[in-house]
Amino acid sequence: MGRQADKQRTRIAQMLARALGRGDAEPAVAALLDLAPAERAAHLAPVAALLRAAVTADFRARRWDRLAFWAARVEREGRLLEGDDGELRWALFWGRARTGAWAKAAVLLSDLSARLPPDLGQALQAYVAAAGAPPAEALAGWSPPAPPPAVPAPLDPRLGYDRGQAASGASHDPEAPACPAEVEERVLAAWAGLAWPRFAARTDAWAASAPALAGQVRLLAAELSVHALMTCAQHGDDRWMEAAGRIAAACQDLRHPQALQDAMALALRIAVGAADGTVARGLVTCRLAGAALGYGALEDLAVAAFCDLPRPRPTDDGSMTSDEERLARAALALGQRLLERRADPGVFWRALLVWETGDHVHAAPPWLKRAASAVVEAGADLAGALTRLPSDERGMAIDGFVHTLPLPLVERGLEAMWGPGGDALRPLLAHATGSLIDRLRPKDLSPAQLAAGARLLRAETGLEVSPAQVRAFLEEVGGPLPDFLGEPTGPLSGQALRLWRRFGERLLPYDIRFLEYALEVAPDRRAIEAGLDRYLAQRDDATAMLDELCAADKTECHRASAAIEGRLLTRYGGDVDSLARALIKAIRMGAPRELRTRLATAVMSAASTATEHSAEVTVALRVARLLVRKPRSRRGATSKARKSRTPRVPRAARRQLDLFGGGGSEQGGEGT
Amino acid sequence: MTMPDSGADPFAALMLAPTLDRAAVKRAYFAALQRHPPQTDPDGFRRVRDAYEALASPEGLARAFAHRPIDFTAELRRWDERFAARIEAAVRAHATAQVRAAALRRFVDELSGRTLGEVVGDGRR
Repeated sequence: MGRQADKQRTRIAQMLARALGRGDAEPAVAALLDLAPAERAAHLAPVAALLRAAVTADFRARRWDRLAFWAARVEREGRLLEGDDGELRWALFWGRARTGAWAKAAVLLSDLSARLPPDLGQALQAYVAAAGAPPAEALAGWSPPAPPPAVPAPLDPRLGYDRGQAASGASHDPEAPACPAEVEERVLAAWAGLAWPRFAARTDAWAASAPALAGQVRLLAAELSVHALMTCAQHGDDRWMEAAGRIAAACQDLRHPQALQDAMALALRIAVGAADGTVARGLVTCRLAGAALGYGALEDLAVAAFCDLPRPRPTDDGSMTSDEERLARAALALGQRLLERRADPGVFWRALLVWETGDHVHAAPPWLKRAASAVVEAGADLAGALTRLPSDERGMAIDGFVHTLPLPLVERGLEAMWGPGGDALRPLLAHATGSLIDRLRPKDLSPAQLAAGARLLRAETGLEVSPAQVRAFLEEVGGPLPDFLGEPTGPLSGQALRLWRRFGERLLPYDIRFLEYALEVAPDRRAIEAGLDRYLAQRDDATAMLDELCAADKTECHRASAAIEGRLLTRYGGDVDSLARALIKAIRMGAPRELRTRLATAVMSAASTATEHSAEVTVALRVARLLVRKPRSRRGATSKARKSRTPRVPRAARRQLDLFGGGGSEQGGEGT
Repeated sequence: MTMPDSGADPFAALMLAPTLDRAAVKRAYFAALQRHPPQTDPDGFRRVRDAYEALASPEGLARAFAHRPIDFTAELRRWDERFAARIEAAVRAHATAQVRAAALRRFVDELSGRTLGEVVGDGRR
């Protein structure tokens, strides 16, 4: 043991000698401190000299951490300061003080106190005692106060401090608050001194760096952001959305503090009032409305804002941009939240429209079905809310209603809306019900239609699709037939027939298709006449009937066409004036040749019993004679070529019309 | 008494600041009825009644409130009343704190940048 200690002592002595030889203070002091206190005395003088030189150099270079290091060594061997005239302690004091070791600094200062003038000693004691933050008066004698800086005045005394008021620069760029008492001063001073985006970033950084103060900082920052919100909105600057987003975020993160309720209401009003229908406004409205739900008093306002939400607009090919998709997702999430709280018909329609806009096939999600059921069951004013939608969205909404929701629910909804719907909504409701009946009609598609569908699906998807698969696909999807397949040709039966029997009576006047359905299912002549009477009740003059005839021909409603033509010729068979007007209109609107010919025959027949004719009838008669004249067959033309020739209105007949009415055809291509 | 030009604004027709408070709407309605009794001012009464019906349901009230144009000047004034004095005080306090911080910085920098001999030799400045 003794030998070991000797070896150790020898090694330390060698290290000390080497350090002294090199004039290296740090290993010299370390070696000295490794020796037992009793053995140090012989080496103290040379090591103290080296230490003094090192401390002096570090003090000149303001290396406070090195001075703190030396101070720690000196505290272990106080004799190293023997003979110090105060300079070493002064330097070590500052090393301790400027690295925040206030207690150690106080010890060194007390050693120095005798050498310091009393007022300086007191000032330094105050500085150390206050851990570097002494009261101003403690230093008054040593640092005469600078003139107070000018306090920035509001740019506009009516509006107070403005976010653009950053002219004062760094002097009004406060440091982060260190305690709750400092938050208000620092945040308000930052507001006054920084432009709003910098203020927002600064307060965010403060909140992130001091979680204990984050709530206080963010609440006050959000309240101040209301100013930016208002000034931007007032001047049409889109950055109001950024301020609104910050208010909404603070509101949610701070669990809806009462202090932000008015700010939220104002932000929502601004969001609703902003005229544009941009995705950005929609997103910020969703965010605000979602946050406003935390305040019971703002729930109605959140609902009103949701009902005014801009609808995502897909491009022509049905796709949406990523922003539009974000808006759709946000709107659906908000709609779901609102509908889970209350069965509000306005919210329901808006949510349905957003759902419809997305790339969804026909089934609505369960929450939307639940909401629809709740709205219908509650007897809410679905029709009134539908009327409040923009006109271009009403049809889309009601189509979505009938195509995405379960049939019993749709039936109850249609029933509930028909009465209060009035003249404004009934045509839309009738159209939607017709679509529903079409959807439920068996799809008796011809092989040619199925083959066309298969070709199109192959072109779209690149997959081999058989006509049978097209049929299976259509059965599965259950929606309206795609355009390329034309109108459904199956009989009105099953659910479609049941629906027709339930709604047919009220639907009948709204579309020629409905007359066709009525005639299709009519059991006898009396029912046919009753259907015709109802359909033609508001269309009972000859020209109106002619319009309906043409509509029936265009939509291939053959039963309706025959029935209306029969009614026209029966009712106006003896009325040559009406028939003449109908004939002239038929020619002008390009009615089919067969119809024109039958009308011409009827005109001639009716005119034969009268002796005098009006000018209109005279012209119609001339035209009728030209129309019923047997066309000359062209020499040499084959019977096939004759058949393929497009029926023409004779030139002479057209001239007669020009003389009479000053017009040729109403539809451009007349005669071709 | 003449009615204000309320247009389609039911709040204006009831001479009521925009609010979501249904009780306030009701109070304003009864006050308006006093000004426009149906017997003597049927047109005014009709306008008041229409306005009240527009605001009577929670949805209608929220819709009218949401769509009512915002008087930004008044809102900014209200904000200013709430914050201007506090900002003024904070700016002053911050400026004072800055002066103090600068004095302290000068005190520390100057003393810690001199030797004891220089400091004591200089004495008080």
